[in-house]
Amino acid sequence: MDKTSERLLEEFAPQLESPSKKWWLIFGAMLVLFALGIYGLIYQIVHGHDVTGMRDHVVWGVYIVNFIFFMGLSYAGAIISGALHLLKTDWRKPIIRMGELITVISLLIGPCFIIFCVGRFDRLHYLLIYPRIQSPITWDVIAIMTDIVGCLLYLYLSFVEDFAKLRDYAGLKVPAWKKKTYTFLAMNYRGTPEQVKLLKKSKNIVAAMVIAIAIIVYSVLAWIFGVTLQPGWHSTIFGPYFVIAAVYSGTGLLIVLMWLYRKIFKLEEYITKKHFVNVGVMLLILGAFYGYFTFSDYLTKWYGSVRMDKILIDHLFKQYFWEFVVANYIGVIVPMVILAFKRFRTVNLISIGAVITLISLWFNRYLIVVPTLETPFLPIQDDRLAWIKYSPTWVEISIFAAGIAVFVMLMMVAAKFIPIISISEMTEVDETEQVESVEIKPVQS
Amino acid sequence: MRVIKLILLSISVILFSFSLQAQNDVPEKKAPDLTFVVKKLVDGSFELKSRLSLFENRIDFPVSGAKVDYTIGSDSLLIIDGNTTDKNGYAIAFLKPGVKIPRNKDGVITANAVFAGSELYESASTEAIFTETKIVIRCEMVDTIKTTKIEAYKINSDGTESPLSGEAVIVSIQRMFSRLPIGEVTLDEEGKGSLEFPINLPGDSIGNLNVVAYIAEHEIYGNVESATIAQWGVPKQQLLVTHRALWTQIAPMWMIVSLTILLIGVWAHYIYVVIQLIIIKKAKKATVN
Repeated sequence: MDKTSERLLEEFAPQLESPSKKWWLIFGAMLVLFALGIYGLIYQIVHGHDVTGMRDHVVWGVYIVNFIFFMGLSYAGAIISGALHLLKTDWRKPIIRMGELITVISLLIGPCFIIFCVGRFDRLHYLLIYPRIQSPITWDVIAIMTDIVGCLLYLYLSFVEDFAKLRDYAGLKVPAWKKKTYTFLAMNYRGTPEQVKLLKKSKNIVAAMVIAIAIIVYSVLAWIFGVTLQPGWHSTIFGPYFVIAAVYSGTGLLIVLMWLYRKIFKLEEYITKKHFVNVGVMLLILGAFYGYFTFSDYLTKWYGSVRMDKILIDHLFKQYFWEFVVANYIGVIVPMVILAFKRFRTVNLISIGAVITLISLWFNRYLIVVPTLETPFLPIQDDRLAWIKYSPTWVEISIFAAGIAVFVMLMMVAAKFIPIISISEMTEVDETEQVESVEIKPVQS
Repeated sequence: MRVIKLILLSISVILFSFSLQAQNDVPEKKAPDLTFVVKKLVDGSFELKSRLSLFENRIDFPVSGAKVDYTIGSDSLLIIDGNTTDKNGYAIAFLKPGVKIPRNKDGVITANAVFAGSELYESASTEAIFTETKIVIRCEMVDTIKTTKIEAYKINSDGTESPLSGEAVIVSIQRMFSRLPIGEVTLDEEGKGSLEFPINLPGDSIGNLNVVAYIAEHEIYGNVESATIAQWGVPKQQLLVTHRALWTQIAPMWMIVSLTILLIGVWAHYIYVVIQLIIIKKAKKATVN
């Protein structure tokens, strides 16, 4: 093992060893949230979907909003980490693993919300037994399954070298089962020139694949809305709009995770202000695109003055005024202002901007799903307000909170299993780099 | 101290003057525009339709909730209960067939629409002057030719009818949203005229067509119409379920091909990478052995 790897392993090994009390405390709190979500889910299964806010009109509520949101984070993670890997940017090294983890963990959580939304669990397998290729739902099922396999493969490929390093590092004080797991997952990788070459080639292929798949799969998800003749959904720009919005939210989450891991593991030496500014610039560009797409979408709908679109836009500007402002004004302007002016580009302010991005993008999804369903073309016979107007119940909120708790828990567990900063990436010598020996030179803030 | 008193006095005077001005600010009444149309309908009744609106900045704003009264005649008045304008500014009243309508010695009818005014609007009135007419429409086969025959008469002051000669009557088919004109009949000295009916016009499920003959916005005769049903159309069944291309048993070929190419492309790469992983594993074994 090279000296640099040893130095890094020595530094990161304590992160992988026995969890601290604080770790258990946070994990316990998340577990409580998760348990509450499980209780809510059981309650929903026992009493039926009547315990949710969903009714005849609004058949998709917070569950679908969360599904889109988490899937967006996942695809964003894939696009960001894939692109950073292929572009070989030097500053990617300490943060690329976070992107990879976002990809897989969000992808495992997102589709669960679909299952919660389905009223008849017993018929769920019909999607696989009786698929109709014409149905966008079938496209989505196929696409998500393909994506899960691709992302897991990508994550594994990026972990192999680190597993091998952890297997070989004698100073790691972890239980025997953990060592055995590293040995098994390292797959007898010894870093021979042939292995290095093959692994690098495989990583490049899968990195390119996950970018393409992420764009296609999220477009498919957008087309579920886009091909539906509903006011607010039937739009040709929904595919690219969804992809841009997803990468925008994912970049926000990446910054938040950078801030958290930097604080928790004291990684200031590795994740510097430069990283925040660089990812922040990505956020700025994506924010501008997101704002442009949003404006373009609403402008054409408003100008067209199709009756139902007009009603929907009125609805958005009256009943959903604040949500609309948060999603489409604050969510664009505040992060852009923070990143546009040099004096505001501090680590904390950029992170605050990223949090705002995340919140606003969740509301953006909510405004895509709910108000449209509250504006149907044909009224039902008994159109009492409680049947038309949607608001999530404690059951939906508890399951939503459980989803976030699972995300946090999996990120915590992942950080206990594998260094959050990829050692293999840090020690990798890119083809473009002309250096004789690998020496870690943390970027100065 | 004196200066302070002076300032306070000045402020009091200004405030008092504002208060007086506010009391004098009585909103000025606006002058609305009232349009009025009388139309004799198919069943012989009269529709009296007026619209009250306000033009501001070149935009027409309908005035709703305003009461409009109608009167007919000048010597003896027929008063029709007023109607309140709807959200589009329209107030509509009907005069049933058979009601004796006051008219002058030349048979001319004068109808008035009156808006008495309100707190916000000035009063407005307008009149419609016309001679009552009657159109008779018949659809008959003349030597195997489908023909629409029109007769029109004007009603004299004593209630008698005399032929309406030299005038043009438009013949049309009533469609869902508007009328489809099929020709114009110019009346002869006896007030009669005919028109060859077009073939191949789509009708309802049994081929019925609603044929309407009318005179519109005539300076003497105003608006009058008459209608009849003719089974001369081509029967058309309404397609209740619109056929959508994707709702077929089998997906379109382009979709199957695209999806297959995509999936094979992606999964082939996956399999290739898995094979690479197996080679990586074996490569080590070879080195060790």
